[in-house]
Amino acid sequence: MIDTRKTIIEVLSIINFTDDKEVFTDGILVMAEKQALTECIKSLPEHKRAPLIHLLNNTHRQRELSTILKRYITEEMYAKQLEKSTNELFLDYLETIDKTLDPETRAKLESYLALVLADSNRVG
Amino acid sequence: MLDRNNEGTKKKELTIRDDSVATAEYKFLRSNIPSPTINVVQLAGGTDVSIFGAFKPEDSVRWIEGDKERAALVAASGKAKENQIVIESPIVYRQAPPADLVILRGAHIPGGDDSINKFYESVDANLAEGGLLVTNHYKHQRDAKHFLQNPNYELVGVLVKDQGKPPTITLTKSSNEEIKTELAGQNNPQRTNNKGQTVDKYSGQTFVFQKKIKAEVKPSEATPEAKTEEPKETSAPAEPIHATPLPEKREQKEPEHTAPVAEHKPAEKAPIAPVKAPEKKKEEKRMETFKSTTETSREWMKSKLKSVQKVLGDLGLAAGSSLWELIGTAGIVTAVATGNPIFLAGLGATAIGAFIGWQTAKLAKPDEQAAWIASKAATTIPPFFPFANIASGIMQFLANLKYRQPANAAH
Repeated sequence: MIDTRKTIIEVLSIINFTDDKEVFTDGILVMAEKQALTECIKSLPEHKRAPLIHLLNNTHRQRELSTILKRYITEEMYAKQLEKSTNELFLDYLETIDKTLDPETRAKLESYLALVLADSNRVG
Repeated sequence: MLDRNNEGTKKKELTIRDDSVATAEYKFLRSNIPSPTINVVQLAGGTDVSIFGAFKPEDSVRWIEGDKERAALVAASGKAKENQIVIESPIVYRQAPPADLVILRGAHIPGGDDSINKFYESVDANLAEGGLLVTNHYKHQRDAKHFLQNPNYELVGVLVKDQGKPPTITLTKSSNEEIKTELAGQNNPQRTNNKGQTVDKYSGQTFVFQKKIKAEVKPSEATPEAKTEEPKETSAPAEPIHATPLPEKREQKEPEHTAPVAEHKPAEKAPIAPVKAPEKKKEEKRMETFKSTTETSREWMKSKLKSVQKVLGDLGLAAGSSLWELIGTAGIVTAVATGNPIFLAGLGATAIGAFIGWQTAKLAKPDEQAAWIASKAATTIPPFFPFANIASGIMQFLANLKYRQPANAAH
């Protein structure tokens, strides 16, 4: 299993990302969660989505929010979507910053990611 | 309300010097920053920050700069008084997300031009493209002059406080030129201030600048010599524009080359087809090479948040609803890292799944969740994502890299 957070932080080091790497990494992971949740809501059939949106728009307590969402979205749905969103987002990020990399940095990044994959296959 | 995220840890006494000014500023800013959450950086100035007095309870204002940072800076410098600020280390602010609004009031920056320039760099680094900068430096309008001459900024509003009239933020195209001329010292129009005194027309007034979107900075503007701006319409009527929203901040397009990731499969079973990125225009490529990786990363993150907000909007979710607060806001990690568990909205910054209970079934009771969050705050962010395996994303990227290798080598 790949340690997602550690891997992203390492990627940021390799590409010479100068802001706080942990904060940015968590930003990516949180964004994946946001996307996963919105995708889950989007994927609901209309007869479920409409009442859910109505409830959400009339809910102003965070605690109730959790109860409502759990009624419509299962943990399994969310987990599946989260993995998809995280992968899409990470790939999108890599593709975006790739254009800013010099060949040497790109080669380093490629080697590192290949190593991460190889390790995960060995362990997994 | 000032700042929910800091409310429990920080009490700041604010003196509202002039309520009507605050209201005018607020009206203008709110019409141009429609998102429910405003990321604000206040640089310098004392506690008489009128705009904070005008924020309404439904606004979510994240005041990025905190007293601690300011105190540390002041203490480190050893040469500033309590109500002054010295930016000796602009990096302090760079860890914060780019702000929608930077408030710059009466900054006294000792140390000559170098320090001042560093300070302005810090301001610039902290303001999102398309974001607003409010300044009303009283002495010689130094800040206003700087940003007037900076081709990356555009003056979009001036708050005028004429005697006997309610303050309004006004900018006509002709007054833009007039202001530039006056601040350059070429003429010196006067006005009667709200105390009945005759003063320089723009002395003490609030200036609102908008940071231009980089792609919009024309080559001809990108030179320091370009001091004057051609009015777009020479016959522009002298009407206030305070109620007119400024041009939208840049909507970043979803990168077209993003490869849809198939269901995750073990590496040995999944030959990954490379996904060819569409040909980009030459100009676009050229711009990209000038952007740093970090800057590109920041912009990427912003564009992702916008995408989420768009989806929420498309779904019909109301801005300001709980879900919007949870996932539609910037989600500042430090909101949780304050360790104050009452800021449940700040959970958007950490694990949404955990908050909803999908991964923390054992933490069913809200008070347990709160205690857990508080305990996690000490270690910043917990590793929430054991099952979000990024293997397929990595595989796809490596496959794409291989496919692009000749082009990359040429680059």
